[in-house]
Amino acid sequence: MSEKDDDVANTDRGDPPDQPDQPDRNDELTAVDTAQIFSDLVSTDARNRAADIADRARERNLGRAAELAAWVTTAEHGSLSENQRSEAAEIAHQLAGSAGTFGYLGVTEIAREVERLFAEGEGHDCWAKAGDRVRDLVRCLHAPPEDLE
Amino acid sequence: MSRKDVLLVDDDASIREVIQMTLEVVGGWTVRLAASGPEAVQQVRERAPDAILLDLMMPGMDGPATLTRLRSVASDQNVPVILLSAKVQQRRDDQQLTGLGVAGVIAKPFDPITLPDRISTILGWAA
Repeated sequence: MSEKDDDVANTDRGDPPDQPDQPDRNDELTAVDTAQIFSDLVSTDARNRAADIADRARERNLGRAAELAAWVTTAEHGSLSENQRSEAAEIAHQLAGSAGTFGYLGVTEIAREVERLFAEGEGHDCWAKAGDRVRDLVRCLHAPPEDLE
Repeated sequence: MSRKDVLLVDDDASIREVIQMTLEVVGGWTVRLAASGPEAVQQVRERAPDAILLDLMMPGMDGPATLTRLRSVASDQNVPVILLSAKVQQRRDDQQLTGLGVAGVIAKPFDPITLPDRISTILGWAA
């Protein structure tokens, strides 16, 4: 598994758009602002640690989004081998698991869709859609995490 | 009661960090970390924890393979294992994973702040 953190600097940092449609809330999928959840419970030191962890997670996830964008480009210019598909799907899977834990539930939903596209999709329309969704991932990761409600 | 000793196995550094912090700060437990299946096996050989949190999908030795290897380590025979999985979207999947002989399954993404309670509930640990 590789994490191209250097690619993060190359991602679009325009004004964040509205978040995409949000999933239903349930016990397994709860919005979390990791820094906020500690704010009323623990010391300033712990709050700062939580904020640092969340920042690093966001950067890692932006790196994963950049890797996915590169895989989409590869797919658009040819075909992906089964190993390449698996690698791309695994990156999307990791992104889905991480982002939601740090409050980016919309990113989790989009990443799951991208994972499915890499696992099962084929053809120009598929990769065009994957490219759109990866760009959505980047935009959402540049927005603040969702509020706790 | 002695402080609980939990081994967390996950290849995602951010997930390891946030779980460690939550379990230590909120749960008051001791948390050891492993970034891979082989690391986990080595740690268990050195000292068996009270429980293992095991990521299902890891590169190389994945969760089920790690679980099989862990169960072959004498000191781990009775240590409860909870799987962490981003794949648990349907009850059928949950049942399949529970069939691996784990104490429970926690889906990713999860709410870190409630994680100690969820683990305690699964393992029957008193609050």
